[in-house]
Amino acid sequence: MGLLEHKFQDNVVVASMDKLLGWARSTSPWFFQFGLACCAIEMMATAASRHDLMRIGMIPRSSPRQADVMIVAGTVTMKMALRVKKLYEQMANPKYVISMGSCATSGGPYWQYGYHVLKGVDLVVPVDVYVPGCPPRPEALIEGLLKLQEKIQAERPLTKKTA
Amino acid sequence: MRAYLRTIWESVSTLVTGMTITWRHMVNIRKGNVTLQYPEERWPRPERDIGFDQDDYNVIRSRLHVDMDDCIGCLKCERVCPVDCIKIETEKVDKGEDIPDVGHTGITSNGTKKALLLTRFDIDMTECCYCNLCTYPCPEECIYMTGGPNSEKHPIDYEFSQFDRNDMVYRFAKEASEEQVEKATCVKNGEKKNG
Ligand code: SF4
Ligand code: SF4
Ligand code: SF4
Repeated sequence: MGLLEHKFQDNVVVASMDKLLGWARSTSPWFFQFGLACCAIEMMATAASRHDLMRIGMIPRSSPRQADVMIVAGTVTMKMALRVKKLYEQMANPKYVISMGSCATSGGPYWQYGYHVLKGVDLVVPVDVYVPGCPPRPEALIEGLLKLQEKIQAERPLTKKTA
Repeated sequence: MRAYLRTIWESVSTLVTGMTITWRHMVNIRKGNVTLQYPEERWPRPERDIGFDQDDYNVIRSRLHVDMDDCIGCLKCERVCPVDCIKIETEKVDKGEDIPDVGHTGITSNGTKKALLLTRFDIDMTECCYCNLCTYPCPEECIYMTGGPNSEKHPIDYEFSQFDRNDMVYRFAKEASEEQVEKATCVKNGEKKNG
């Protein structure tokens, strides 16, 4: 999309193309399968048959190249932060990040004395949706994902940015 | 010729057998279906108690809520929190007096006279580990997880994802300007009381 992104004046055709693209992107946000700590267990539970992420079009991919969404599930240690950043950079555009759980959002229980924990994954990668919980219930994660889908749907990938 | 016909018969009959199974599953799709259709249905609240004293108290892990009219500012919850995500600041006021300016009520619903005005009561839900520890020591039982003992007043709420991290810091203290607080407090400015 790099060549065409934000290159067109707003008109009927572009607007409907935008809608189509938004629909296509928001209904198949494949997520990148990696977990860092206890929250990852809940992410696995969400992807399993009881809550079934495939219901909302999310398929786990093992490679960042094939993924659109990165769910940062768990404690981001200083050592892992570099890897998280690298993995994020390897993902193809458009890419989205979900910060799942207290740890990824702000360091969580380690925010004060955790010498080894990154105080929020938004310090290294831009985060789209923050999901609260320690760990978040699968329902809470799905709610966050639905919120992300709304956000993707509202995007205008082709229209020129004004101001 | 015979072999030819038998091949046709076999392909048709196996197809029918297979399609019967498929059809049966399609008709019975709601039976034994484990998937929760999330936004429409959700898990029921687990029915269990914590095993001591409070029979009716259900350990629930959801968003915290504070009834500010009942809070006496004793800082017990702040002190017990293992991750220090509750931040409270108080000012001394006349005991048991209502101060309508800053929305302060003098007497709690348990009948305790309040001597402190809460100027700040922040809970950072991004740091909270939902351990419920802050809810036990509260003498007024005014801090609790939504959906817990006061579930009629505050229905359970554990899905509150945000686009911005700062939206998850919940500020429960009543809005009041500095002048209003200064007017309300009996301790003069300069020796600011903090807990
Ligand atoms: S937020 Fe809680 S459950 Fe999730 S990784 Fe951190 S400590 Fe574990
Ligand atoms: S639930 Fe636990 S971590 Fe959260 S505010 Fe209460 S004591 Fe602190
Ligand atoms: S323990 Fe209860 S009364 Fe005391 S400061 Fe906390 S919420 Fe207020």
